[in-house]
Amino acid sequence: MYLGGKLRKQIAIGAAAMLAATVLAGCSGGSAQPAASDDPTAPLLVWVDAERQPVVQKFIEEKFTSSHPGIEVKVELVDATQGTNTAKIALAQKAGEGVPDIVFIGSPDEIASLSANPINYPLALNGLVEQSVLDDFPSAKRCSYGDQIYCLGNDTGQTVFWYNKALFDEWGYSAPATFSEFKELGVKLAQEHAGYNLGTVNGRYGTDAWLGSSGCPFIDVVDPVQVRINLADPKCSRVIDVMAPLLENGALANLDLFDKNYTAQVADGKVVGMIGASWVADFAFKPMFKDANKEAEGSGKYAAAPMPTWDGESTNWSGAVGGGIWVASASTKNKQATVDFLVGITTDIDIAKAQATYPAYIPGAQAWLADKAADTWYAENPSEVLLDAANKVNPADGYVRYQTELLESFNATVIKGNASADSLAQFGEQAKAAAEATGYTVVS
Amino acid sequence: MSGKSPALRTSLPQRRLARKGLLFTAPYVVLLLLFGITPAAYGLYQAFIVTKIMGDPEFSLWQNFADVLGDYRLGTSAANVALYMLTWLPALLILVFALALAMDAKRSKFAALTRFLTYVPGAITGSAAALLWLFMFSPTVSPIGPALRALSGTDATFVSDETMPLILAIMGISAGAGGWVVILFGALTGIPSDLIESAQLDGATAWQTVWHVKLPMIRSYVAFVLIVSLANGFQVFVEPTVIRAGAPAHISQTWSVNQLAYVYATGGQLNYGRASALSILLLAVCIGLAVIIIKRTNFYSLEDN
Repeated sequence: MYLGGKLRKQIAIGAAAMLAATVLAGCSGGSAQPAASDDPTAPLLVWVDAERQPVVQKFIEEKFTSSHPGIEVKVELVDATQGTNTAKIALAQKAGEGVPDIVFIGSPDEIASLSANPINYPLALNGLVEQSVLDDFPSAKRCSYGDQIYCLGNDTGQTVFWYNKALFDEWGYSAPATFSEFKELGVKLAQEHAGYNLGTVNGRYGTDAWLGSSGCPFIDVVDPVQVRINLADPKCSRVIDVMAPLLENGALANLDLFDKNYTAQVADGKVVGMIGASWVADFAFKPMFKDANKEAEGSGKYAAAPMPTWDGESTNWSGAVGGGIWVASASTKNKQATVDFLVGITTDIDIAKAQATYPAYIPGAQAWLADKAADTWYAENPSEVLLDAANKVNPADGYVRYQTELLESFNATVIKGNASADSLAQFGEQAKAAAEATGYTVVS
Repeated sequence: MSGKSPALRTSLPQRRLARKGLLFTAPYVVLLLLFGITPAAYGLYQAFIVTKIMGDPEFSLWQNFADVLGDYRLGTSAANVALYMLTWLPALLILVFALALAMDAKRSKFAALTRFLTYVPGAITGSAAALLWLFMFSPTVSPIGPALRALSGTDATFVSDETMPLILAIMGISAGAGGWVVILFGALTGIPSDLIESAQLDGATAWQTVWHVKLPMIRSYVAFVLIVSLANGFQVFVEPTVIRAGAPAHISQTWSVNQLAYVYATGGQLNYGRASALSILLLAVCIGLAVIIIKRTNFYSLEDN
């Protein structure tokens, strides 16, 4: 192509100017934003997922607007897939606009990414939220670094043993009190009723529910840059001792809880028990019967039994699977309204009562359990078991920046491979690599 | 280029022509600068900025590249992509050439129909095709379910890290072959018929005509197919991502190299530096291979003649 000399020069200068502008923009975008000056009338921007959107909208219309007249609240819908919120907040920070003041995070591990470079998003809540309120969020301990708490819980995924009580009674089985009994039950089930299983241990069910309740140090977070990983610990090997033979004989399934092939098994009544989060019955069992038009078949059968106790423990520790959190922005322009909104939405009893999952806020949970007690879908009232388990979540583990990698490694080594002490060690190696790749120093 | 002939500078019609040319290309140049060159330059800059978990970002010429090359996932991702390319590319090339040559040899209505039929699957875009094939490989809903069940022995989806190269190859061929067939058929029809006739008069068999006359004549088209396919193949992203979304816990989020770059930028670490570094490495591989292909096939030789 022929270009006049002058034109070519102009284009070259233009391109150079654009490059320079880009490079400069890059420099300024790299550092954390300074806290903006506070404006008590500034509007709020709230990010939520589809499930919470109508609830939040209602909360604003019926409660927040009357207590905070003149403060406009804009609600934006954000896909709840793990990592989406973090990535979007990072982009909004880079763009310098549209950073939410409050965000709902469905996968609480994201707090580990939000609290680190380059985002440094969350607002430390101590001093801004009354201590008595913070005390009513026991699960918030998991998103604290040092003395500071950075989130308020939406729900808790404490694990219990969900089981088909009607079938257990018919077969003469009883809920296992220890994991040794669980293992015996699994062996018996595979022999007497092949094709039935005691739940799945894929991904976070095997990690957070099983390894987590046992206190296995696989995500034992020391601080944002240090994590303790030691899969050789006896608290890890005792898990694989139970899991391996039952995966082998089919008494434990290896599919994701929401895999179509597994939900079909649930609807067929093949899943007779599961070490599962508080929400498993309401969220993963009940709807599957409904989807398969077998609503009556699922009803009146399932009950919650206390978590079995791991050998050598005196407490029947629970694990925690998921559990959404609410996080406020440290760079909010209206700090008071942001904190008020955060506390308001998480401590609202009506919202807590109506939500599908176990509320993280203790008074909310009490109201929720009262409703659950009256639900005839359950064979017996699960309230007491759920409440007890909520206070027994094993404190050994925390939130990390490599949770997805961790679950993939667990599936690739222990679940899809040959579950054994070797595969557990291999999982440990991969967990270590994943931790180091995301900026952690690993101690054992 | 302008430097060749000073006379051009003073020629008024030429200058007018150049201005017209510029007018035509200006919108493209603007868009290229805004959405091509600028982001690429920004990416290049980012590749040298090291984000640390604590403390300020640092400038380093090599740190991000070293981190990326030392990543424990890169080997697996690269092996996955390599296996996919080895499955897909030879099969694609053989199929595309066989079809184009067959159509060229027998220019019947049947050939036109075949051309149309091979082209149609290409109308389904990447993400939609990924969903379609996800269903195809899930025994409970697939029309070929019984065959899959017989192969794997279970109702579990056929989709896994190990079967992905095969699945992507089938997807890639069904979606891409038709377009290439049309292009190569066009190239074959462009070969002067007297050339083919003289070869036949000299006693060349059909096979010899293909091997010694037709293929060398469409050499640069072969190169073009190769370069575009290699670039697409190395950057495979949409298909494994969509399939993974539909088959939870069956496929790694870092199955391909490009997915690993995406995870750097959006996953737990938000590390744009490493994402850029890996993208640049990927670009270097693609450009390197393209240069080799161009040299080997004398890609630009026709224009020199």
